[in-house]
Amino acid sequence: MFRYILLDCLHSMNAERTISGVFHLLRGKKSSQTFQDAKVYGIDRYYGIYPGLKRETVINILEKLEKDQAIQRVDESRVAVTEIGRGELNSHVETLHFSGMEYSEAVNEFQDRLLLWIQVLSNAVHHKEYYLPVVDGAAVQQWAKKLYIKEKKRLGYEGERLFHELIRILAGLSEMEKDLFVRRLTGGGDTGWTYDQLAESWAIPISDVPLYLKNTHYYLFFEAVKNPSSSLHKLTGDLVKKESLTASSKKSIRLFDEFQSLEEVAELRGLKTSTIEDHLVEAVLVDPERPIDAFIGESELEEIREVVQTIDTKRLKVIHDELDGRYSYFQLRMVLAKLQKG
Amino acid sequence: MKSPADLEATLEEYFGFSTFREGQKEVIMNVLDDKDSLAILPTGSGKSLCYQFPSLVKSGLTIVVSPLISLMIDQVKQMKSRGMKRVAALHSFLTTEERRRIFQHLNKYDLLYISPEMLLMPRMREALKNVSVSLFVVDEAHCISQWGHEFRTDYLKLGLVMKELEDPPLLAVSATATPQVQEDILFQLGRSQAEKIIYPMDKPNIQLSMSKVESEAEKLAFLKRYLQKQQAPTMIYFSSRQTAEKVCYELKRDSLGKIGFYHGGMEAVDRQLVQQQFMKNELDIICCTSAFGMGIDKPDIRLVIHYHLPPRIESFIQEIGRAGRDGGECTSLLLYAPGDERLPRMFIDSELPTDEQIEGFVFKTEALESTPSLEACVTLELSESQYNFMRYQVETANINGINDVSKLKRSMKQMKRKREKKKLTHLERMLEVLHTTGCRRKELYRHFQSFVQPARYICCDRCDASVFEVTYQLQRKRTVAAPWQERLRALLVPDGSYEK
Repeated sequence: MFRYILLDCLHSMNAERTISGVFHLLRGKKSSQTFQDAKVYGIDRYYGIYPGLKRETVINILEKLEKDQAIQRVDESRVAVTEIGRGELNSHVETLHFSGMEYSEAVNEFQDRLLLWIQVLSNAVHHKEYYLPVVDGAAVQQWAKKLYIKEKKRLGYEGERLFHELIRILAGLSEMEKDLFVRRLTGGGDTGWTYDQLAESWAIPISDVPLYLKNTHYYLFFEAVKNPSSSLHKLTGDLVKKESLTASSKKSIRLFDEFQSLEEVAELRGLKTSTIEDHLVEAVLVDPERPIDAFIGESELEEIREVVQTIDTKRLKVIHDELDGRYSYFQLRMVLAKLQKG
Repeated sequence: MKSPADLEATLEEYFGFSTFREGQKEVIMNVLDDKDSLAILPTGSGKSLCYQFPSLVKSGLTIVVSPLISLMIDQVKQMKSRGMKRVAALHSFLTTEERRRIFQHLNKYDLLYISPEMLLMPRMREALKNVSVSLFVVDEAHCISQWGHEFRTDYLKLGLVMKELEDPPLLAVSATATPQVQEDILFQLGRSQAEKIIYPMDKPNIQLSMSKVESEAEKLAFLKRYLQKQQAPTMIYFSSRQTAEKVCYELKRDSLGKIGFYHGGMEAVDRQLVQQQFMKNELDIICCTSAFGMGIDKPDIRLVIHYHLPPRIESFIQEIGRAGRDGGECTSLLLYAPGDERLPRMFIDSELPTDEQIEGFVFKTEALESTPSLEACVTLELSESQYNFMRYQVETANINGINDVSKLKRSMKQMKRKREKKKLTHLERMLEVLHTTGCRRKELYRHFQSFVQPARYICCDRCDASVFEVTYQLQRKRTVAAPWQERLRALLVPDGSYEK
């Protein structure tokens, strides 16, 4: 699965971004560059779905892809997907449920909660009083404690309800995904399995295991959200779609709408102009309907759009040069944000 | 004051033991009498109980200064899992919110673990003025002497904090402290008159063995042959993560039992799972780095194997101390191939700055007219400990009024060589145990105590080479992994259906 996702990202980025760009995207780096890449190349669903990803893992898979001629080196830090690679992408059959840009934080939290809550329920029905929680982190433990106190009187019933619910919902997943999910759980007398152990039992690469589990949790999360009367809904109730803009960005945008001057906003906020620019680009990435006529005229936008489409690139430098440097990088970023994917 | 019988009842209630282990009661009685004490108790003797227990009995707060965050977290987890809830750990990994929660409830806790850095923060010291501190504990107290001059410099200011807290009774605990270090600990804390309660560090139930092989390949072959004869809870220590994983796969390939690996580079839940699997005997062998074992109290580990050479005998003693905590027969095996001393040497090098780095650092300090930050020193490519060493040296020089640059450089280089020599001495002592032609037990403990207790089983391979033939055969019932539906049912609905 990791191989597919990596290939898909590389393909979408069209050799215009470095490998590091993909790495940051999958890990969910909070930077305006990563954010912009995700949106402009239409791969925001993968944002932050693999927080534990290591550079070695990426390098490892890239080497394999290169050996299989699915990718080609463009230069030291960029690769292009070949015909063989595109074939591989098209033959992929697994269903992906990721929606990282909006939900990675919520689903990560949900995953911890579910692991811990099942341990709590299971130990309760096994009458195990003292045990070490499998998930560290004060916030999630605090959350579990609250739910435990609330449900204390009917944990047995809750356990059974959750069992039937999971059996029903898991039916929508592959045999392997079901198995990976269930073996990861801890409770009663039984300890869950590590990524390494799960990988061994299904003879899959270890780098795929966190992704399969994550995919399952996205699926469970959305099922739970859809169904307010479900047992799982208790675990998702307060987990919401990520605020698409940071508080700081929002402030800059509000101030800009009021004063209509980058410099003034920068001075008022004591930030660099370039930071305010980042915030305004973000605003358009999140809401492509937002007007940008304060920065660029209608006919100029058309000119840039044409160039972007003709030379089929989203690399600012190339577009900038093609237009003989008549537009600032900020203007170009605004237009790319407006155009988004497609 | 509780009577001794009450003590045992409390022990049973909170810790689930009916009697104290050797040394615990003496230390606890001392602490309950508000006497200052330095307790040297061997690893596995339940050192932490010596302050956890009094914290439950005494009114007021017990502060435990601990050098390792992971250790604190583990201990708090363990106490909570036994039902003692009024404990907390305060360290730099907490979020502001988590810290605030602890700050606001200082009066409600029985016991607070804290890192020295956190304890020295002005806000913390201010907050503690409104709290009655009934006991001040310095855990792993050898850090004051062993490391304190270098990167845990805040340890040297603990004496000052104790004064601010109106001199609560002190308990300093350690598992490894030579007589010289013991003196240094109490001197640095300003409590030289404290009572020393010292128990011998040697374990009569452990059998020591070391084997020299010709190459890395032969080492692995030796290990495989050895493990073929064993089936018992086993730890294998490595000094690198990669080797731990690699050897783990090798051993698995030869079907030498249920085997897992553990190191600091793994994801948090994975680490928790491996640890629990090992505790519950779902794993026989664990291939790990020194990150594993901190605060782990598994009584029935029979074998502790060192695949690499530990950098000092203190670490070695601590690690083999994890074997046979139940008092039963256990074995330590160390494997050595030529060149193995290179790794710890490299490690020592990376901890102390080179002469060039010292020159560069002093130059920067001059230019900036203040101590540069670690980020400001990127070009010097410093490790954190190299940086901390130099920062401390420069700051002490300032206090001592050394303004002359060449003098400063000279004194820093001198200090570095002194520390380097000291570290190399530690390694040297480890090598002496390895290369000795005499009894390994005597050689291992001679820096700490003047005698060794008689070995309960075989002493060591120098005394009796048949130690290599000792085997442990503890049959484990292995359950076959059930299909996922059954496993899920067993987790959530073990006794069939509930009435709705």
